[in-house]
Amino acid sequence: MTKSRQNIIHTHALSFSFGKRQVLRSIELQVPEGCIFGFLGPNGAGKSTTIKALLGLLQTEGGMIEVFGKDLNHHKMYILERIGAMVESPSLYDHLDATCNLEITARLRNLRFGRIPELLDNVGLSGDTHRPVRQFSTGMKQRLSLAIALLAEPELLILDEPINGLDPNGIMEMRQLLTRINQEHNCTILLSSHILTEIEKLCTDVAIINSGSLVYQGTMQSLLSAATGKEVIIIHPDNLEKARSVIDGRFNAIEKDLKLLVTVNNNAEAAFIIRTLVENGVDIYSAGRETTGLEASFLHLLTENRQS
Amino acid sequence: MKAYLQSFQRVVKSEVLKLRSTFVFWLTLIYPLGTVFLVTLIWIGNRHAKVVDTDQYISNLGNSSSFFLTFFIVLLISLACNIEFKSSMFKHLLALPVPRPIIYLGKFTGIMLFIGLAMILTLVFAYISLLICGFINPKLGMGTNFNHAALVMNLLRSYTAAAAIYSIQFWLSMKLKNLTLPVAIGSTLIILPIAILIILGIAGLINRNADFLRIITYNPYSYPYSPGFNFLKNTEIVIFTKNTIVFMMLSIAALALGTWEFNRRNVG
Repeated sequence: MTKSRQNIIHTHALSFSFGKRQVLRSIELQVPEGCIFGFLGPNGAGKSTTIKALLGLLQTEGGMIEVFGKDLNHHKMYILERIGAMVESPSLYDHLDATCNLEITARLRNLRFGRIPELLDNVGLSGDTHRPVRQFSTGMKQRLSLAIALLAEPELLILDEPINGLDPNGIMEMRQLLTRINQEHNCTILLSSHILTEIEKLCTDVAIINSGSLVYQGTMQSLLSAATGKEVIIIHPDNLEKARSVIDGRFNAIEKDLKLLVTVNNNAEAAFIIRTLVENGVDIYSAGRETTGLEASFLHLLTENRQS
Repeated sequence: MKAYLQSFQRVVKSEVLKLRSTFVFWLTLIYPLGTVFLVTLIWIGNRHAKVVDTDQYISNLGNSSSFFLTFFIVLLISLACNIEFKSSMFKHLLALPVPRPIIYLGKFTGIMLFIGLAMILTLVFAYISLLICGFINPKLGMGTNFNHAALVMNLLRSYTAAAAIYSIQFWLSMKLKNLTLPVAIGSTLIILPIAILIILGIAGLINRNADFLRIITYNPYSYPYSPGFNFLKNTEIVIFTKNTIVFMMLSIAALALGTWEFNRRNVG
């Protein structure tokens, strides 16, 4: 059966500022119904701000947010009834146990408590139902937060960094759980994450935000194929500023963790960059190639955007 | 309207559920127990007094409970609100399909239930104290010659006089993330008039009882304990004084403003 591509979220020129600092600039985000949508961007790009705006936590100053085809400003309760969300770090009452935390949300949402044991079982916490949450590991807290978000059987699940703090096994379980929720309940999932390999494995659609502007959105497949033929080389020079000044104007480059990420079209360009740097007195400690599909595409888009 | 009321009821119940296993609950027990214990201790110490005056017991209890009430309210409200900040819960609560004013007013009501419980417990402990005092010294006549209405009225007066503290402190505590700030602001406002009185008194700038009282009675945070400073004349217990009515209006205004501000707040 072909999935409908009607948008479940559509923002129109969404803008937001914290004081004088503009955080979101005319965002036109479109999340198709039924997909698992990855929302990517470096730290401070505006991912969490966008998610908070979608949940009505921020008073946006420009644009419009449409969710389920309705304006968020005028149908907030209708929209929030159909959304389960987890924003940034898990929001839990540390002094209460897992069941109590779920009961509070169930009470506020006017839901029966009957689903609580099943949900705790689904997220692998059935053996820890009566332990205070303060004794939980970060991963357990993440899973409990997810259970709370799933409590109302939402049509749309919004998760901000849901795999932060999870061990590899926990990440795999979370991936399987989200895939199951998406497929079995036709629940649209919007999630932000820094772990690109996981986004690549999990998401069908993706959007990339940088400095408050959307630099890409579309299917994962088209993102990966758009970057075909382009590569990102990672150079660790002795003098980052000098290396930057040599490369600037000739290639798209960004700095990350004392390294320089440069987009190139072929091997010859990569060799040329390294040779030019060395000829200009820049020592190179290491040089590598970013080969992971999404990571390369992501870095490529960011370097292009930074340049423009 | 019915849906809003049901929603409000659910918020209040959740508030009680989350507060019942915190220090807020223990504070609700400690404050009345501590206050009554203090008064009982003083009365047991005075058991050889020749003149037995049960009105004095009521006055003692009323004054001490009203003085400690101000600190109790500041601490209780600040702690109860800080739970939300400590657990980063606002971004979760405000993303639920519950209107923000209902969350704000429901939380306020939930906290007020604990304050109401503290008043009931003060009464219960006071009667236990009376039994103990009467048992230790039957001559005090605690069981027979006691003005029960005056005891209730005295407590009611203190809790009503604190009307403005409830909503101002609640707004402060819902606004300021750091627990220290609302507690410090509230405590300073409680103590400040006494500090001013001491300084001005030593400096010889206050020589009349009226001047002495004015400073305390015009500050909503010190007004509840002002009867304790009115030791030169024995006034009858009036619950709705002019000041109390003004502070009640101030309380409603602060609650309305707080609700409005909370409704517009960005959760960053």
